[in-house]
Amino acid sequence: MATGHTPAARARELAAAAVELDEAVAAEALAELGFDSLELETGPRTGLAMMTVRDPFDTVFCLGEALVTEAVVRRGEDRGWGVVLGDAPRRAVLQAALDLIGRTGDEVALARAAERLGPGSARLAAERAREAALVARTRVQFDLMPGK
Amino acid sequence: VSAALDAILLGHAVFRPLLQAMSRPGTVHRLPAAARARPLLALLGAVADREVSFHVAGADDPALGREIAWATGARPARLEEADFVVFPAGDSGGRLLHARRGSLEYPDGPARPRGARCAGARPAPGGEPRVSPRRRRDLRRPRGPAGLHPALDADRGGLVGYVAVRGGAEAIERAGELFEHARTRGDSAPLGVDQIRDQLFLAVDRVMGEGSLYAPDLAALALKQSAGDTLEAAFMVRAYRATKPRVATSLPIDTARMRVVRRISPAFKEVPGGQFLGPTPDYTLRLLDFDLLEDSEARREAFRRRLFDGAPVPAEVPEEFPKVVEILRRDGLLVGRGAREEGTWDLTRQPLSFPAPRSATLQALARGETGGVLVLAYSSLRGYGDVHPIIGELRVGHVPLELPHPETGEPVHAGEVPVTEAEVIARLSRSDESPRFGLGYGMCLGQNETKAIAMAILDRCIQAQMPGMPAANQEFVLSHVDGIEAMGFANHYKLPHYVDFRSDLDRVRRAQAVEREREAAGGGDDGR
Repeated sequence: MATGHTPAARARELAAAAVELDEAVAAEALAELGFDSLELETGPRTGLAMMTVRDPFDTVFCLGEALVTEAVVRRGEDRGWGVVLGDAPRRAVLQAALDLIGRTGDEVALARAAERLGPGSARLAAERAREAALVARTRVQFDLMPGK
Repeated sequence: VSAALDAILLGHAVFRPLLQAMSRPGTVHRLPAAARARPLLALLGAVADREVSFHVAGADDPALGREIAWATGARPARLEEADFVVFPAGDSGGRLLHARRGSLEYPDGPARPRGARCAGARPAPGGEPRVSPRRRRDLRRPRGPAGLHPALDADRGGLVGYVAVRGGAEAIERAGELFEHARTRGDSAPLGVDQIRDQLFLAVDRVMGEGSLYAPDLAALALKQSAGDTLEAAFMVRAYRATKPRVATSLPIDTARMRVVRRISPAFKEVPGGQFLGPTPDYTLRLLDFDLLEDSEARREAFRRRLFDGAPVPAEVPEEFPKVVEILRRDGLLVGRGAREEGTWDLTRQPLSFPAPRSATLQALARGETGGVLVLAYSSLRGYGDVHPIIGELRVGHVPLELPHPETGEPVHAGEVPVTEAEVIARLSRSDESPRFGLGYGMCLGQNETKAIAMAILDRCIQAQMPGMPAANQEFVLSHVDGIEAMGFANHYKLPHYVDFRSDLDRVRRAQAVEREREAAGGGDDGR
């Protein structure tokens, strides 16, 4: 968990995991980590992110939009930006706060965040591994399928 | 944080009466109390964003313009160029005639006027406030050349009025209630949006794909509201997206990084990384499962135990898979990438024109209606075309949505989006020096394999240099795959057409009279 070499990289790892939290957990984390006291500069507000895709001809095209929530938090002159899928204001603020402490190199806050968010991230990884195991059981070689 | 959440909820609350006002012509709807202090800003906040422009006409004080720019992110522009025109005094004084206007080709091009008062609004006795007949006539009065829609949003007392058609408002409202009654009159328990999202996920995926918006909860809500009509649901989703500002454009998604849950390559017996059937009912019989009549939480729990417990852990699924078509390309068997297209077309910002660039083609197909895309592709397979594809690779999985950080430009992970991707190999392409396979590409939101495959086939079809069949004609295909446009055109015939029909009747009667006169004169049919 959060193995990046720089504070910003570690914060990005934590933020990437935080986008999967549910809103209630994100609210608890905001309060426990003291992020609730940060000043909100923008949002959190819902908006759209256009998803672009690169096809096999190297053409970048617009696949469609996604509903996202955006937030900007401020502490003094420092700002942090967060954007997450869905209508998820608390997760957006949490991500913005993680961006802020990562960019300011706040090692103490980063350590606390890693401790607070680590278990949730581990649970998510375990769930993904379980899903992957189910997919692995459907591996097929068509030449061996009955009737072929 | 709490104050910001209140602002979000207020934005939603403002948009609802705005929609109600637009969908119930001639009626006036009250904005939520919290928006009434600055109703104009509240309304503009619901419809304007940083990608549009506005002009404040006739205001001596520039503060209003600054406030609008700050609150919405929209940019100020000259009257002749603005997307929205604000008249703080409520009367344009003739300046509206200088606002941008649509054309016959793009009737949606005109600026949207936003008035600042609604002098004609008054409460109806014992009922919902309505626009006065005098004011309604005023609103309907043409104010300029065709394409300039008269509309009015009020900024006094927080009232919103909009007049597009007249007559039948009461009956329309009662008909809507009757539809709601039809949806709710059964004895079954109310259907939760979460149930639709989780258990009818393929329908939700289809609505998101055709609505061109990834928002599972909203798509499920739209399905509930439309009583399962996917076209109507996609329409609602598109209407919703039109109310939201765009906050970012993602970094191009590289599907080689997809977290794959299903991957097959019918072109090969085996491919590097392996083939995984994943979650699919393919290869099974399409027989009704009557056990589902007894669906219960206990039954589900037993199923989950059987699925997860005690199963041997097989080899892991690789985190990333090589692309099959790239293997062919490395061996010189597939067409090259070609010249990279400059810029990316966005149909939500630029109307389609022909010949359409490849980026516009792919976007139009990706938001196309599944049935429409399928039917056109099928026509090619059936013989009205010459593309008979082999699927090189079909993938279903989750791709990371990464947005550029506004200050550093570094990718910020916003979450994962489920998609389906299909790559079809078809026909020899002789555009290069040596014969190679052609390639068609399909991709859509969610799990919708039929659409992704059909899209890839159509993409390959319309690469033809000399299109001979409808499915190979880019303009024909792209002009007909949008389900919402097609549904709108077909359904608009349900609206009153008695003026057109009266004209047709007159013509037929005149023709019959001429025929009778000719017969009376002994002329008969002279064969012309």
